[in-house]
Amino acid sequence: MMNPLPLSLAMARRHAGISAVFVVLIALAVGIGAAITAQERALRAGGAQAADAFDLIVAAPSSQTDLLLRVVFLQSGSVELITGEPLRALMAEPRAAFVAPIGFGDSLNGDPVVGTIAALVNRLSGGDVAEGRVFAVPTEAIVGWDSPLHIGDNFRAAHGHGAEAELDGTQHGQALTVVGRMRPTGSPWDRAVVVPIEFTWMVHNLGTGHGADWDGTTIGPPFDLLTMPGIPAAVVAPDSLAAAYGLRNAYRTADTMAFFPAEVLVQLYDLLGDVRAMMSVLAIATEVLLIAAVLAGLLILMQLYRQRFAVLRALGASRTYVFAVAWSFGFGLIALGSVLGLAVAAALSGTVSSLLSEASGIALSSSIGWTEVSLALALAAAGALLALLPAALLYRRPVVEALRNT
Amino acid sequence: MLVAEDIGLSFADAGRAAFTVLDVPRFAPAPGRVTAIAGPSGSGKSTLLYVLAGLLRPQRGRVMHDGQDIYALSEGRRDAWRRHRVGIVFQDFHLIPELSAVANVALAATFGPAPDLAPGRAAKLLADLGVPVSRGSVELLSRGERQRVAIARALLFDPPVILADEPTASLDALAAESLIATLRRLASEGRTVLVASHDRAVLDAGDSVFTLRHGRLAEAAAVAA
Repeated sequence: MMNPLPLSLAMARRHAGISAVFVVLIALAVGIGAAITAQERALRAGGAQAADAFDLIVAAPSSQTDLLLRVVFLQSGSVELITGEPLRALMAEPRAAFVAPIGFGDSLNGDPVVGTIAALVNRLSGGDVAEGRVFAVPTEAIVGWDSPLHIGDNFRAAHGHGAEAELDGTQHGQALTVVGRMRPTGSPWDRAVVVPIEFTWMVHNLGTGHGADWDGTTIGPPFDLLTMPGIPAAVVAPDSLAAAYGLRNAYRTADTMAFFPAEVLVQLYDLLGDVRAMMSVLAIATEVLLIAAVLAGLLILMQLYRQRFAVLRALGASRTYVFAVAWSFGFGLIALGSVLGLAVAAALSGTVSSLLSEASGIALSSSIGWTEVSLALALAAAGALLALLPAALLYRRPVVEALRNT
Repeated sequence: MLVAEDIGLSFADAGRAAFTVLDVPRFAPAPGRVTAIAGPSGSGKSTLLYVLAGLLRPQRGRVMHDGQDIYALSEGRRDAWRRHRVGIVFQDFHLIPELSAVANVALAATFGPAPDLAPGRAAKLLADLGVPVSRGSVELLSRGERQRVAIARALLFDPPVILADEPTASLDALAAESLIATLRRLASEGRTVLVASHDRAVLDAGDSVFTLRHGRLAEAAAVAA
């Protein structure tokens, strides 16, 4: 049986340095291209997972994207409040299992301190907490899965975020006690400290949300709709799918806006998809240029080997054998580079996901899927075709002419 | 038996008239003898070998081997004929430096379908020619040893015809003497051994010596075997 591998492997050994450079360049090109698609997919999945528990968000009219970033991804920034009659209607909404007001503005060592109600904590935590229990009085807190705080820790929240955060000597001086830890959500809520909304209102001198006869310990709804402070946003859990659409339509008014986070994510994904498409085109263009460069290198290399191939013909090798040696050498480099490119993509994507997860709090789990494998296969297929060129040139080269040029 | 009949071949350089490279009415190197071809550089010695090896189709005439016109064969069958029936030895050995001596000798077995070779035939051929068998590159061998590896390679399929083009040109006198002895031994085993050479020692060792001038072949001397 014809077996061109010993000679193509011998060529690779002879030019190990050049071969390695070819393989590494191809692997990097494939790796970067595949990492882009893998990362984009991880971002989509991570974003969708993070927003999964937030059925419907109602807020004062502004940018839905901004609100999504504030509520789901806990990015800091100012938000208009819902107040007055729209707020009262929302909090008394009969089509919702719960309406969870959200209160921002505080932090602890850079992590957000968010005020809300126990129902949302339970929803985010998957119906059960990982450790301890949900807060039951205004001075208790539950922390996210990745929070450095532990049950029993006492702390004082700072007003504001980041460098602007500073301890308030009066209200913020009130200590909180950690009583539980939520299950992982895959969102920035995993780093958050979640406190009763009453605490948030009280430390900002906005009242308690309850009437004058409030006992000071009972938290959560029902709130006193007449004295309840304005809220930047509420997470609404509709009773049914029909209720979800009904609520979204009902609160799309001049005073409020309502949206499904998934809707906004789809819009962001479309934008992300356009960017991904552009980057993919650039990556493919880079790969094509690289393959062209590799092909040029192979052509030069094959010129150096024309005498060897002529000698092989003189020894009885067929044109097909010579063709197979040259083709398998070229294709082998490109195929190996493509396969290693997937490993590069996995490493690169994993590193980027880790860095982005650390920075954003969104759990990103990138993996190499069929899209990336098909990209590598496409490049290998292109390599199989392009490697035909130097092989065909050798195939056609007259033997005696090459033998005389020794 | 290898016979060239009425071989005619001419080349034309760009802008110049055609010139005759080979004009050989009949040439039949005898089996069991060393036939040497002498002649100045450019006289067509190598070209004659290429024609006889089926590598260069002449414009006129034919090359017969055991009654078969080798240029009447398809290219693939001619390749297979050359692989199994002709052993070629080059001036500069043309070994594959990345491969061991054994791998070089056995290389032609990878070219395509081949008769079953006895296990270790490549190593045995090398041992018979006094070449140390190691796993290292042939570049580690002396020039004389490398030429013997090239001869072992030519003998892989035990061909009846050996064509050698200036086989001693890269060797010192001692190695050349050893090579000549090997060629004579191969001829004594019944092979047709045809050697193109400038080397006086090779020509002196030939059973028949032909000279090639302006493409015409003439028997210059006959030495008793």
